[in-house]
Amino acid sequence: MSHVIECQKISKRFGGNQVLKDLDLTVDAGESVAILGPNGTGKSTLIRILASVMRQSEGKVLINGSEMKDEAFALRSQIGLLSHTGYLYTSLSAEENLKFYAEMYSLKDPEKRIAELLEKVGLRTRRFDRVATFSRGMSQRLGLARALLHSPKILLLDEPETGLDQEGLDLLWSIIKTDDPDRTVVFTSHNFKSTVQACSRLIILKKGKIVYDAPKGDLTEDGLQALYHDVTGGKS
Amino acid sequence: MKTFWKAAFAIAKKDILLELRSKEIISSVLLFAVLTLVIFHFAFTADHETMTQIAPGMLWVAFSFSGILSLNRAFIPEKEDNCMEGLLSCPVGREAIYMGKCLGSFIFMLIVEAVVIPVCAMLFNVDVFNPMIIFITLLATVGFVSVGIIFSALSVNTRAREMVLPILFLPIIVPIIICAVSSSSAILAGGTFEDIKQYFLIIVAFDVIFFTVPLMIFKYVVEE
Amino acid sequence: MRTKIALALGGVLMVVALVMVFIVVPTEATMGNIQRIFYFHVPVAWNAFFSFGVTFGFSIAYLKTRNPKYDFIAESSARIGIVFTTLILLTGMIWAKPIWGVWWTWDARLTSSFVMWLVYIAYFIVRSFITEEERRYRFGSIIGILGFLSVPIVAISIQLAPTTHPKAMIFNDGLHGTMLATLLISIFAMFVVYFLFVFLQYDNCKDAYEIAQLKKKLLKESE
Repeated sequence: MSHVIECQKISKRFGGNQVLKDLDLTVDAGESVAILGPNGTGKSTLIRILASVMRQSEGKVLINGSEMKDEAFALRSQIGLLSHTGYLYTSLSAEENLKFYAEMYSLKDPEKRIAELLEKVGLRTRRFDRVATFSRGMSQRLGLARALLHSPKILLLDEPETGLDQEGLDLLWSIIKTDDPDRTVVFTSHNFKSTVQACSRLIILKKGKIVYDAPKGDLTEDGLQALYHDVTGGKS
Repeated sequence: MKTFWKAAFAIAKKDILLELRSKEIISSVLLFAVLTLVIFHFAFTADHETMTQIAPGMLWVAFSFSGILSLNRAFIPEKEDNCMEGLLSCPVGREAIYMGKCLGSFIFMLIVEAVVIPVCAMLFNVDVFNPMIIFITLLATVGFVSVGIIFSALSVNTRAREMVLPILFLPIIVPIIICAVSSSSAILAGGTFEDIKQYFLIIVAFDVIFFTVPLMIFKYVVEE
Repeated sequence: MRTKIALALGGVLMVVALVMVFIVVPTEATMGNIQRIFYFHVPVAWNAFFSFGVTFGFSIAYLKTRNPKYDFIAESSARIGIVFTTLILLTGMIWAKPIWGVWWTWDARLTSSFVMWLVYIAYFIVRSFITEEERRYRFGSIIGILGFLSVPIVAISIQLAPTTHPKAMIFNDGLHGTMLATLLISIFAMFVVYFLFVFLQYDNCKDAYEIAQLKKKLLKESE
């Protein structure tokens, strides 16, 4: 049985700037992996490479055993991506946004899935309103609906908490867990509380390298905070 | 292949829908194009014969400048809320994204041309509303848009992007302008297809080269 | 080392070429002395096309491999290409004034050289607008590819108009003996000079890049 995600010696350079260095990582089905680390340490870059919206300079990414480089086309339909922004067109309504992405993913029965998701993220009554009129929490939830539209096996989240209060973030996570509890999730975060609640495994990145990788166990929020400062040298 | 066209049409449809929502760009671009013609009138008040000679040139100056205005905006919706990344994460080839953006801008340019050509014919009493001229204009618009879209995607990621597009775009589309203007003039002067065949062939060659190559290298513009 | 070889070879060839142009070769019958500029104008033109061709090739290589060195070569070559194109235009104008009576006409060859010049000026202006290195190389390569493809098509489309530019006489029987020899030596001399400049410019780019890397490293360590 191959791993859901397997990174082999991934490096990424921007010009002469080395962001990721020989990074190895495997993620198995159903894991919920949190990636923490100081700013500029390559968290977002890693997520983008896994989502194949960015190409690694060296190394291989395998999704379910197939190499991303060869089959990006097919593999992308197994991956959902949500970043600090929801990738939404603000002049279009919630429903129009989802309909557009449904066409991009060639969904079979888009109406049903869209209605179901709008209900789940609590935007059914606002579905004809333009995204521009939405609050930050609402558009982030719609962004999540967009990422979950094609029922991906893997969900990638890059600092989804940006601009959300704790309540909004808790709501986001409860939607993720109820939509499909067995989904593999990889996310980056700066929020210790929701990280502890959501993850089953913890990875800390520092200067483009993994410096800590272990199951969460019975770690608490305070325990995580102490561990994080210990590993990264106090900076957050 | 089916997903290619489906995605391309979805993107074009989305761009048109976005534009229908705001109507900002189409109205200002159309106004600008007509204003260009008005300025031409004051710059070259001339007799009918001279007007007939310079009319195709006026048309293409109006198309180029209004084209730059609209092409400059082509990737703004993808820049807002970082939608380009959302598109890239979809299971479609980057070629389909390029094709979709081209289709959207092509339809947009057609609307501009559909207004400017009759207005020019009316204001200056020249017969530019002529099937041959319209055919050549359509053909030239293909190359015009396909060069414009790749440079628009490039310029949206640079500083001073409003400047970047015209300085890259204008010198490259020189052949399109030369051929479209020369062949339109020849038609106005009573020429037949034989007279403009050479120009026609160059426009076709330009369209083929400057559609295929950008289609192939578009992924290097959008993917880091 | 290669720079020194190019410098020595280029220097010798240039002196030979100058002697040929000003002393050995006979004065052309109809145009007079001004025709001697031709031995400079033509080599510069050929090498300008060659430089942009090199930029084209290494732009493709960069996009395929993402090795910054290929972009340095592409950029250096384009820089020399612009100098050469500027020289084509200037020498052309100097020749045109006494022969045609004007500095400039919108003739096919003149116009296409001018458009080519504009394309590569834009190449450098746009590069200077991009602060992030990797993106600058990538976008530079794209302009290097599309720009070069436009050169022949501009030339062909303009050529449909009647031209007064002298026809290329090298391959038909128009040019003979010492004139041809002088031209070939001039072309070769200019070719070596091209490589000399590219080597110098390339080292320049590489040094600037390495200095920038060291600076970044120092900044990171001092954090």
